[in-house]
This record gives sequence, structure tokens and C-alpha cells, in this order.
Amino acid sequence: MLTAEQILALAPDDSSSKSAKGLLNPAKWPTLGSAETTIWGECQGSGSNPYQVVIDLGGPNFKCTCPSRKFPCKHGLALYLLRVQKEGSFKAGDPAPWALEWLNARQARAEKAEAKKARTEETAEPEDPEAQARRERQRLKRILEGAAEVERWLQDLMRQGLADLPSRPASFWQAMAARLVDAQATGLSHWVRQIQSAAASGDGWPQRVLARMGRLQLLLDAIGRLDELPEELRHDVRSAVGYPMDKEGVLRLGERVSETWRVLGVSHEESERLWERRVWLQGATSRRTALVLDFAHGQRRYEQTFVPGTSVAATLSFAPGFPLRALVVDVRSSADAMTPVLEEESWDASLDAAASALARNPWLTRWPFHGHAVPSRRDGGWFASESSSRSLRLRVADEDGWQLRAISGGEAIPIFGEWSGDALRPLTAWAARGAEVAWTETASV
Amino acid sequence: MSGLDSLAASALVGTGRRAPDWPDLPGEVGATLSKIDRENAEKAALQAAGVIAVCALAGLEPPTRMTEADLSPEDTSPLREVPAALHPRLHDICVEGPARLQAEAMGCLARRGYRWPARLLPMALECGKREQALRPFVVAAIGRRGIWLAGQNSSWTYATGVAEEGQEEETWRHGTHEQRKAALGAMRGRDAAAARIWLQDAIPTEGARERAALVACLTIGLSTEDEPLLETLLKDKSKEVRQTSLTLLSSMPGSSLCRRMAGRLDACLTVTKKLLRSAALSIEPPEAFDPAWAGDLIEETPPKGSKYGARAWWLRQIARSVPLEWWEAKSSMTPEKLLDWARSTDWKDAIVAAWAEAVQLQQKESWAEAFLKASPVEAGPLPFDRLLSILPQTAREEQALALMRRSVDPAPLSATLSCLLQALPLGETLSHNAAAQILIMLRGVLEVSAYDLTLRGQFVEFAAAAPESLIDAMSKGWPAEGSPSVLNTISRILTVLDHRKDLYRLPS
Repeated sequence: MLTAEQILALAPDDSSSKSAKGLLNPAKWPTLGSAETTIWGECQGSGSNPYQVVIDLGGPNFKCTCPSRKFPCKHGLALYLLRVQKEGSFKAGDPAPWALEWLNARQARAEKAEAKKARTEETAEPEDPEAQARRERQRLKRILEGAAEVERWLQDLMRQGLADLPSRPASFWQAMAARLVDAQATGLSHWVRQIQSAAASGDGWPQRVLARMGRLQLLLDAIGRLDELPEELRHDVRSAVGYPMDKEGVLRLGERVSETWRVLGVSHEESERLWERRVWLQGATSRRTALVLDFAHGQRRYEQTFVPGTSVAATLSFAPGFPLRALVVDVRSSADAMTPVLEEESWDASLDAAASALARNPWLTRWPFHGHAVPSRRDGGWFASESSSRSLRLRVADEDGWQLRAISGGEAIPIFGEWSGDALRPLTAWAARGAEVAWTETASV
Repeated sequence: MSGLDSLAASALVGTGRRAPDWPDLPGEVGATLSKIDRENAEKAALQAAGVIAVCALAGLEPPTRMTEADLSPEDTSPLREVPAALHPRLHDICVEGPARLQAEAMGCLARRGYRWPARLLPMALECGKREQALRPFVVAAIGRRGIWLAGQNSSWTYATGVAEEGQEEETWRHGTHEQRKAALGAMRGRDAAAARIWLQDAIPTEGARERAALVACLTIGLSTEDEPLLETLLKDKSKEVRQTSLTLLSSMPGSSLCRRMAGRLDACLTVTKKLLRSAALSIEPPEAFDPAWAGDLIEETPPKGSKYGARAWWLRQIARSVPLEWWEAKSSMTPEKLLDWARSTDWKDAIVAAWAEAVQLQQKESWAEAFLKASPVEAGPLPFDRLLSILPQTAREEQALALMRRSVDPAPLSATLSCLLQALPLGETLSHNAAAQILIMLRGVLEVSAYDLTLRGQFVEFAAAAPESLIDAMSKGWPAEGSPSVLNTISRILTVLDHRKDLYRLPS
């Protein structure tokens, strides 16, 4: 069972959670029932037939007959919230026939998928190796063309001077970024965008721009001699260029780790209506960190929900190389409240981990950071300090900063976030070691 | 990134113009740099920048900034934690309001010995920033941690203004204007004479606007002991200060200013005793302006564009500072009779306007009631909310219900309800009886609320103001179908009621 706050955190947007709160009146629900791991209810909407809502609490997985394309929809959220706030309104018993139907259908689907997977794994016959190799060569050729172009562009910039970069119009950057997307090198395009934002970053921008141009150059050098690189590094370079191993490949070749994973933090980012969700997991016994990436178009709608402060028993398949990236192979059970074991109070462990991560993959742009820190506001910005000495800039919305400050009371509190080398974006915070999650990011910066 | 600085300097002007300054770094980084082939100057500079950037990131040591620890003080009495299930409700209450519900939540938690959840402190402080009347509730709820937090954000200083007793003097000496005003007000509440002395000492050095604001603090605990100071302030350089003093003196029926004004009025009023009949009253304003009046701030010429002639203007200014009891004693008439009489004279506008001001200054309940009974909704010389707010709650509800019943159209209903609710201090509820009657009327206009935004807001405000004893009855009996906006209104009413039910369930 999740807490009300965790349930609301699952809402795809603010209006959904707001509408859900408007449905928290049992009078609107002619039927409310619960079984061991399932709850269901009928919600009177504007039409003549009530909407039928089922939740498998194990996921949690939601199902609703309403036409909304949001997921979970307001009815699903409201049903779960009602369960937490008005447990007495639910009648315990066997699932209603329509709820049972969905549960069975889902079960059947899962079994079929399992069977199909087993079949393909058994009889997995890689497609025609020759055709595959030909496709690979073609794609690599286009990427190399893009790389050559951006390399000339970089050198021209160096020769002519960087002084006017901050005043360049958006179209200047857009042109190069778009050409790289056309060349199927989205990773390179991302680096161009990074240079663009560094140029607009105020005092000290020339150093930051040059640092990013330099790292991009190292990436271009690496693409040029991809064949000579050790296998692991080759995967990292391919990921950085935007040509990572596909899902099937990771599932087939990746290293599989089955254990209980603690959800450390979840971040969302949107760019041109494409949502990216990053879920940071920590193995309960292996202590291994994993990053599960998901994408959704238009809406924040993802198959699997992850709630900071809970844990999932799952098998992950780690992509080869060192991007921490992993795919979820299967989830056995989930949403148990479980507090993560945080690193010791000193930041050194996190800093050392970041250093060795960079040593293995110099193109990482963010990596996990956890440590005890005092959040505070100075000179109009937010900082996290380690017992009033070392300090990092926090990338946080003002309202979130004040919430963190209030929770801390001026003391160091456990914080987990994404560190990009110049700022820490806090995602989750606890009031004390071993306590329940006290805060998750609410507003994006 | 020391090596980057020199590279960036040449990169800024362009390596075409200035060959890159090759960074000379010791150790492993230097060794790696020395392996770079420098044939292509641009490429070599980029590679060097890349090597330095990655090494700098990997070896980054966050800058050290020694800051003094600033720890929140602990609450002295042990407080209970609010159950987690209630947090989203509190969040919702802070975001959605209305302010009355916020006051109730804050008051409820404080009274029952709960700690306001730390994460929601900034929201509670924001509520108080928007709504001044809510501030005492915010301050009572947020505990020491909240006050500590408020001290760090300039828009929340209201919560730190006078945090603890005994701090007023310190704040009065060193605070900002707003803080000093709060400190003076707080001191007035505890020791009116001491506060007056502070004010007296400060007057010579304060600016006009600040002076007026501080003098206005005398409203708290006003008594005839303040008269000598206020009398001298009638001669203050600033008009704002003079007017404030005049208002304060006029609101004390025993003041010598009121006596002087009554004397002036007495000369204009004739009471003819008739045998076996009630007295007949007639009024004739002064024929000429007496220069001595100027000392009591009576203006000789009416303001530009006013509807008054000079004599009516003098009458109005004199009459507003005359105690209303004086009229009753002089004429042996009730306020209702006097209002009737005033309307029959040639000077009715001036007299009624003067009385309307006097009712407000002197807070006379019997007169406020008379005004409410006499004037139809649309034509009162005083806004209804002011008149209603003068009445004690029972009389206020009675008058408001009478007004609501008189109106057929829901517009005056919502206007009157709005007045009734505005006059009801935060933290208090309507009586069961009145609220039950209003609820019936509101249910009757539910459909109309679809087209009336103000009325819809009133429904929600009312849900927050109804007494606890009505909540169950109010939660039931709403139609399940209707237009979306009506359904939305119902859902908001029920949400407010649900919030309240959950708050009351907290064990104390």
C-alpha cells in the first residue's frame, strides 16, 4: 500500500490529481470492493453507465473504462486514495465479475507474453546476419558523416573565435543539431545543445563552452576508431553518440541481476512533447545502482510505476558498457515500503563513485549522488552543504528549496539526486536516516 | 580548471588570430596532454580541453564555504505528528482554500497539540502572506521551526515580527517599519500606557506616513488617557496624522472633542415640547463658519464636486463627531424614529451620511440595526458588511436572514451571504439555526449557481463557515446529476466538508 502522497505522485499531471481529489466522496461510488491485492469500484461519471475501475495493488496497475487517455486516470487515482483514506467504505469479498474478467485477461496476457518470450529465447534465431551487418554499416556510415561535419564545425568555431557564441540566434544551433539528428546521431546533437546552453550560462561561459566542445571532440575521436576500442568502451561510445544497443539486444546480451531494488528517485524531463523518465534503483544486497529509462510521447504514461521509498523485486538486464542503464525484464512484486540504505554521511563515497564512473565513461552527463546535506539559500540560489563546509549548487525550484529547508531544520538530511558536475538536482529526501521519504521533487526547474 | 583558462582566452579571439596557449600541467594530466598530436592546432586545443574537462570533473572537489550552522530551535512542548494520510488534505487546503478552512485547519492542529508537517510549512506561510487575517492562525500553527523558517524569507517576516513576548522593545528599536508597527500594536495590547510613551517619543523623528500608521495603532486599547496626545496631534504637520487623530477622538463618545462638537450641534437643534405629544425636532445648520472650528479640522469649503452646499457640509462634519447617544437623549427618540425624522428634513443627506460614519466610528449596535431595517439592500449609506460587522453575531445573523428572505433574486442573496461571511471572523462558525436556514435557501438556488460565479464561491465559503453540527446534514441530499459547473460546485462543497470531518477526527 502506498501513502496518499505517493499515490498523488503517480498522477500524470496536476489536473489529474486535482480532479481525483474531487472524486473522493464515497457517495459517488455505488460499488467499492477489495480483495487481498485488488481493489475495484464503480464511479458515477457524467454518462449513464458508471466507470469501472480496477487496481492491482501489486503494480500498482490501473484499469478504467473511462475514455480518458491519461494514465492513471483520475478515477484510478481517486479509487486508490479512497482506499487509503476511507478504508471502511470498501466491502471485502471476491472481485466483481467485470474486475475478475480484467484480472484474468491480464494474467492470460502476461502468460502469453511469457510463453512467447520463452519460445523466442529457445528458438531465437538471429535474423540474417548479413542483412544485419549491412544495416549496421549503413547506419555507422551516416553517423561518421555527421561526426565529420560536426568536427569541421568545431574547428571552424575554434579558428574564428568563440566570442560571439552567446549572441548567436537559436537557428545557428538548431541547424547543426538538426543535421546530426538526420544523421541518426542524436547523442551528438545533444552535445551541441549542451554547448548552446553553456554559451548562455553567464559568467565564466567560455570555459564551460570549451570544456563541452572538448569532450565532444574526444567523443568524435573515439567514433573514428571504434573498431580499435575494447568492447565495453565501444558500447559506451555508441550510447553517447545516440546509437545504443536496442532493447532486444540488451535483453539478450545484458547482464541479468535479480534482486530487490529500492527506488531511490525518479526524475521527469520533457523536450518537444517527448517525456523522459529516469528511475534510479539501488540493489538491496548488491548495492548496485541502475538507471531505468523510459520514454513517452505527449503524456507521462509509463507501463510500470516506480515510487520513491518503495522497493520492487525484479530482474534487470544491464546494458553492456558502463552507462548504468538497465531494462526491466520482469517485476515479481512491488510497492513494499522500504527505506533505502543510504551511504555514510560523508560525500566522499558519492564523489569517488562519480570519479570512477567518469574514468570508465568520460561522456556521462549525470550520475547518482547521495549524501547527507544541509539545504540552504544563499545569494538568491540554493546550495547543499556537507556539515557546513563543502557545498554544491542545487538545481531546484524555489518552492521545493523551501520545502527541503523546512524538512531539514538546518540539519544535514539524506538527499538523493542527479549530479551533473556543476549542480545537484535533488529528487528524494528523507528527514533522517532510516525514516520514510519526506520529499520528492514536485516542480521541475 | 586552471588549464582551461588559458585555452579559453585564445579560443575566444580565435586560434586563427592567436595560437593556443598550450597548458602546462603537472602529473598524469600533463602526461596525457603531452601525447596529443599538435599538428592541427584547433583539433589539438579541443582535445586538450576535453582531457582537462573530464579530469577536472572526475577530480572535482566541491568548493568549501564555511557557514555558520543555523539550526531550528526545538519546540519546547512535545507535539504529535500529523498522520501521513492527512498530509494531502492539508496540502489541498493550503492550495485551494478558502481562507476560513485554512484557519480552521491551522487552529485545529494547534489546539490539539499537533506539529504542522515540516514540508507544508512554506505553503502555510504563503497562505498568511496572501491573507492578512490568517496570520495569527499561521503563527500559532507553524511552531518554532516555522518561525525559524520565516526568518529566512523576506516575504514571511510577518510571522517573525513579534515572535515572543518581551521581544517587542527590541523590535521597536531596531525593526523595519512593518515590524515596528506590529511591535507597537502588540505592546498596546499588553500595556497601553507604555506603548503610548513609545509613540510619543517617536513622533518627532518619524516621517508623515509612518507617523500616521503608528498613530493608528492607538485603536487598540483606545481610552480617554490617550486624549491629550491625540489633541496635540490635531495640530500635526501632516494631514493624514490630523485625520487619524480626529477619527480616534470621534470614536470616543466621552472625549472633549465630541463634547465640543455636541455643543456646536446643540445650537442648531430645536426641540419643541408639545403637550401630550412627542417632542418635535427641527434643525437649522449654522449660518456662518466660525474660525475656531478649524482647530477641530472642520473644513470651510465642501470638496470639489460634492453634492453638499457649505452649510450642509459643516453640519455633516460636526454631526459625524457627535455621540449617537446624545441624539437619543436630546430628542427622547429611538434610532429608528430619528432616521425617519432625518429623512423628512431638508438636510437629510448630510445627517444620514454623518450618522452612517458615526455608527461605524462608535460601533453602535442599536443604530446599525436601525440602519439595516430602514434601508433596502441597494441604498444604504454604509456598506452592509460594515453594518453587519458592528452587530453581535446573533443579531447579525438575524438581520442577514431577514435581508435574504426579503430578496427574491439570488443576487442580493449572495451579496448578503457574502457580507455575513465577511463579518464572521476567521476561526468562528455560524450558528446552527441560521446556517440550517441558509442551507435551505442555497439548495433552492443551486441551479442558478451554474450561471453565477460569485454565488458558486459563496457555496464553498459557506461550507467552511457552517458549524460542525451541520456538516453531516450538509453532506447529504445533493443531486447526482446536473450541469458540469453545478456538479463541480457540489464536489467542492463536499471536499471542504470532508476535509473538516477528517480534521475533527484527530484525537486531541
